[in-house]
Parts: sequence; structure tokens; C-alpha cells
Amino acid sequence: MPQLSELTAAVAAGKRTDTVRLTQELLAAGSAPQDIVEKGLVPGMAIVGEQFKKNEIFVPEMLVAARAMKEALKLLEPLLASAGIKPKYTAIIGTVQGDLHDIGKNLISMMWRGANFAVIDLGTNVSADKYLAAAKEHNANLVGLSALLTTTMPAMKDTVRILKAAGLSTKIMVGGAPITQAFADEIGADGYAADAGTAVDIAKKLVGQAA
Amino acid sequence: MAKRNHHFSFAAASARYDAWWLGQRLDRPPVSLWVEPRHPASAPRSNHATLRDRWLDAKFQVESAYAHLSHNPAYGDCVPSFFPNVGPDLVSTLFGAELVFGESTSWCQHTVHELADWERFIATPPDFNNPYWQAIEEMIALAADRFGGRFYVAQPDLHGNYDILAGLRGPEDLCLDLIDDPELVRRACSHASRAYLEAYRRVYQRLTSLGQPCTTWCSYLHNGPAYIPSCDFLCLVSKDIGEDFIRPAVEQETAPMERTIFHLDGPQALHHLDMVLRLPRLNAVQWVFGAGHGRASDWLEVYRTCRQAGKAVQILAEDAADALHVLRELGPDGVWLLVGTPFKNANQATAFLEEVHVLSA
Repeated sequence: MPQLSELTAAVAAGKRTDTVRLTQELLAAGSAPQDIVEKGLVPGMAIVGEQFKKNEIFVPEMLVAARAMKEALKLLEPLLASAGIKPKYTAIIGTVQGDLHDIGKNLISMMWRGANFAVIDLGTNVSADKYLAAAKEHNANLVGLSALLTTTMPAMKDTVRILKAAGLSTKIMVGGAPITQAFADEIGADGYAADAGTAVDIAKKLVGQAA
Repeated sequence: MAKRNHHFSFAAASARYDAWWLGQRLDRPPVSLWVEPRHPASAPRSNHATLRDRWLDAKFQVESAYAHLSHNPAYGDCVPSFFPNVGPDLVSTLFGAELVFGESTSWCQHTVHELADWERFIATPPDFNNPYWQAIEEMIALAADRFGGRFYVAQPDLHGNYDILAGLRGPEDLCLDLIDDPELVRRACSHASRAYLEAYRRVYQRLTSLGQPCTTWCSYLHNGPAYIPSCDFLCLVSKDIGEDFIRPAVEQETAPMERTIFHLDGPQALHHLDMVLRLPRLNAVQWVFGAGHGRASDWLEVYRTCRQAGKAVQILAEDAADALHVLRELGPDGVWLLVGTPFKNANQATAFLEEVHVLSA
């Protein structure tokens, strides 16, 4: 029976075929699907996040790791669902209204999934009302707002205001090329992440999970 | 001492840019600046049903530019020009990509859906009869006719190499393709770069035949082939990929140019600066640190690195104080100052230009 550490290494290296094979072997040997996710796959993506933060790897390497994990999850998710096991935290994410850029948002979404958050991706050009409706519908712990254009920063501010005014307990996190901690503070966001690696740490802190 | 004229003069500006490209200066560095208009421009009103209609309406675009240029006297070395524009993915449209238009930019709909589609792409010649390229050609012709030599017509925005591929495929899938089949992607990029060069050749010949100097959205001047090479995709990839894939593509695209200024966009791309500075046909660097990342004065080390490598720099200063601080620190040789915040009036602008003269003596 392979070790969970082998699976972690395969995910971190983006080895899709090895990741799927090791997942199958672990399942066949009787490992619990939840353990495979939490002790095998998630630590692999955590390594990737740390390497990304230190500029040891870049977006292509991060994407192949996420793809490897996604392939493994295709095997595991039906088993988890049938056992009634769901991720503990739910996050909504999208790019704010007027902005069609999506790569930053996609990277964060991928890393949150890698940290075992359930992620509902609303896509790009998302109105404040749509964020609010999704946050209510999914009882989200976290809402992530992304913007690449300076011209759409006011839309981010409006979205934060509307979400806050709704009185939800949902935490709001913002990011994107022109966004700074100062801007996040100014508009009343609960958190700001400068990159996809940091976004996991901040998200965990915001929802109350130890980073 | 005779009072200096600070209105735009083609002869004086051309001479300043000629020196700047070579890392030198004439009487002072080139300066791009704007003054708030005393009267609002009487621009034509848009009655277009969609943003797409507005963007592609060549007559409307040219008349809007004419109204703006007529009401805004140009000072310093800011070339009074019209920039024919449909957004950054013009070259991707030569391969069938459709554009989606926003208020101030456009996006490209992907046409390469899986890795194997690159073979189809490589076998596809660029189509210069597509509506976007035709709109650009119409804008150039109308503008040259309307302006009658009073204002200039700039080259459109031609993103090259891996930005063309990212427009067609999406940047994330392109990243995965680079890992899965790097040589196929390299061949695709070479095909894209050939189309880019053909697009440039057509634009250059057309504008030259109309008596236009070489300028673009980056408002330099040069009498001969010049452009602003770029690769926004750089910010996603490692130094190794930058060196092995992007550097050869940019070299291919800059080979026919007499003058080039590389557009290096964002702090995430800064780890490629060494590679950029080793490009053999590079004259200058436009370092775009971007909103939220301080002022030009905060990036002196980047400018110094470029100057020490023998390259000129364009300084994207926030305001006059920012520009003057950088000028004092770097000295005037090989420096081009662009002041982002418009001056309140002509007196303030000319006072600033006088100060640049004094600091450059």
C-alpha cells in the first residue's frame, strides 16, 4: 500500500497519472476517502502554495498540480458525497462587475479547492446582487472579490458595502493587481491577499481555521 | 535669453526622441504631459446601440479624436495623435477570434479549445479581411484625410507572441500546454509571430505612405520601423520559460525594427528584467509598475538597472513632483518623463518644462 506522503509528493509535482494511480491504490487498500483528501491531496497543494509564495514555482506549475488534484477528486467526490462528507467551509468567488478578467480569480479558486473549501465560482462581471444571492443561498463562510482594472475598483467597493449592509456573517476577501491592503481597509473588506498562496492563509484565518 | 516655446514641435520632439533612443539627451529629456482643457471638447455624441458598434465606428472614433485634439494644445513632446484601437487582441482576430467590448477595453473569445487545435492554428494563414482589421484600416484612412497633417496617426496596439496565443487559448490553458507539449506551443508561437510581423509591415507601410512618422499608444517618434514589443504572459511564468520560449519569440518580432521599447507590465513580471535587458535590438524599457504599487520614485532601482545596462527608460510619473524627483536621481540622459496627472493650466505645464530644462543643463 502506498503512503499518503507519496500522494502528497505526486500532487505537488503535478504528476497527474501518478496522483490518480496512487489514489486508486490507497482506496483499494482501504484508506478512507476523507483521509486521502485531507492527509494526501491537501498537503500537496499546501506545498505548492508555499513554493508559489516564495517564487520557487509559477502559474504553470501551480496549474498542473491543481489538475492532478482535480483528477484524484473525480474518484473521491462520489465516495465522499455518498458518505455525507462535505468540505467544512464554503466560499463564493467572482470578478466584480465590469471586469472580465479571470485568471487571478481562477488561481485563488483553485487554491481554495486545494485547501478543501467548497468553492462556488460565479465567473466574471458579477453584480453585487449576484454575490449577495449566492452568499445567502450557499450560506457561505467567505466571499472573494477580484478586480484587475482600476476602473472596476468602485464596483468592488459597492459590492462590499452591499454585502456588509445585508448583515451576513460571511467574511469578505478582496484581491487583484491594483488592490492593496490600504484599499481593502478603506472599503471595509475583512481580508486582502496579494497572491494565490497567501489567499489560502488569509481565508483560513477569516473562517477561523488555523492557517 | 530668448523665451522657450513649449508647444509641441515635431522637429524638436523628433530630435529629442532620436537622442533618447540612444540613451542620450539633447537640450532636455522628452516630456509627455497634458493640460486640463479650458473648454470641454465638443465631441460627437454616441448613439450606438452597442459598445461594439461604437468601437468599430471608424468615423465616430476619428471625429471624437479630432474634437479632443482640437481642444487640447499639445505641450512638450506629447505627440498629438489619434490611436486607432480595438483593444489588445487585434492580432488574435487575424485567426478568427471575436472580440467582446467593454467601456475602455476589449476581450478575446477563445478559439483554440484543446492542445491538438494548435496544429490547425499553425496551418491557418492570418485573415486581414476580418472586420476588426478592416475597422483599423478604415480609421487610419479617415484620420489621415480628416487631420490634413495637423495631427498624426499612430500605429495600433499589436500584442505579439504568447499574448496572441493566450488570446486564442486563454492564459491558463496556454500554461498547461507549455508543460504538456512545449515544442508544439513553440511552433504555434513562431506562426503567431510571423503574423504579428506581417501586421506590423502592413501598418508601417500604410502609415509611411500617408506621410506619418512612427508613433503608437506609447507616444515616441522615429523615422523608421519602431515598436513597443511586449509579453504580458511573462508575469505568469518562470525565468526558465521566459528565457527558453519568450525571449526567442520577442527577438523574432524585433528583428526588423530600428528602435524598440519593451513594455514590462507589473511587479509579477519583474523577475524577467534581466532577460529583457539582454534582448539584442532593445533600446529602451517602459516599466509599468501599475496602480497600487507606489510612484515612479519608488522604483529607482529598476530604472538604474536599465540605465546601467545601456537602455533608455520611460518614466511613468504620477505628477510633476514625482517626475522631477526621478530626474534629479537618474540624471537626464536616456530618460523620458511622462506625467500622468494633467496640469491645471498651460502656465503650470510650461513652468514644469522650464524646470526640466534647468535640471538637464
